[in-house]
Amino acid sequence: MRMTKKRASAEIFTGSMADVTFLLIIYFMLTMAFSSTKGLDFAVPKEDPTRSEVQAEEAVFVQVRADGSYVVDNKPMPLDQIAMYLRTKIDPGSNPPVISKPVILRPAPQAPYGAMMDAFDELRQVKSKLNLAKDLNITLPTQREVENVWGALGVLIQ
Amino acid sequence: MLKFRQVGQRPDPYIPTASMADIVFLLIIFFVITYNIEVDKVQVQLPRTLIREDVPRESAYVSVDLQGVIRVSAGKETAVPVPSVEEVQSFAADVVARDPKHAFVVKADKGTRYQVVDQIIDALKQAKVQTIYLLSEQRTVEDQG
Repeated sequence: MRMTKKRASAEIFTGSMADVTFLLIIYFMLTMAFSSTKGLDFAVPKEDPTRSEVQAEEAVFVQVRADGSYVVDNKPMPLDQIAMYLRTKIDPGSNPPVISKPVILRPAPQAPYGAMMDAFDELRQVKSKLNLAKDLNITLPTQREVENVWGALGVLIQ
Repeated sequence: MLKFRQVGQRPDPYIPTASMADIVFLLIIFFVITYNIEVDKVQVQLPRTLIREDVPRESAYVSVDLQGVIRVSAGKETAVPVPSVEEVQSFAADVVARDPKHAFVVKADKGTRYQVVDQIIDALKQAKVQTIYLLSEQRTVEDQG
């Protein structure tokens, strides 16, 4: 007697594979779109123990008031005019132009964080707006630094 | 009446989908490589800036929402709330002790009082953090009004 064996065809069903992987793709696309991974950077100045002398130098003082308005060197000023004002601070005779004076950004404690970021962004754009050779030296002192260091040096900060 | 005789068998209509999985897998590999795990899922309205720098992968996060709740993450695990700014300093000091060049990202709502952000930046400075990023969204022409 001859036994006839019917072999099942060897096949892996891959039809649903595409469905699963498409679901994964949709997940990755959705979660990627909502995550923001860029921002304004600032390098924290390094402590230099060899430099103990503090030299008084003229600086540009940008204040952000509690209502979100701006005061530059004690003059109220709209944000879009700060670059024009800084044009007057370009070092005389520098070519390409350079502003070596530090710019101190000092927001009021009650000021909205967004207003401070607008000012910081505007100051960072000054290099391209005025075609400066190097970035502005922007300082963002904290309240503790203002009280401890600047107060000890006799620098008047409002 | 003419009769058409079918010669042979008609092939079944069939769309081969086996290569579809290959293409989709390639796309998945692309997304997995370029994917940044969002360790801090707090929804805040970020300030908008024109200048934006890429934040290094696995940077530590310190986030503040509009209610003033502060959360921290070293970059790999999900952010957890901390009770005070002093905790931020000890957390940052711990991260910096392991990796002195570890970047920190401050993610704060644009309506937050600056005082809170000031205290956080001060805590990071005291913990000897070298680079701080202030997270922002892209400012567009419409934003400039």
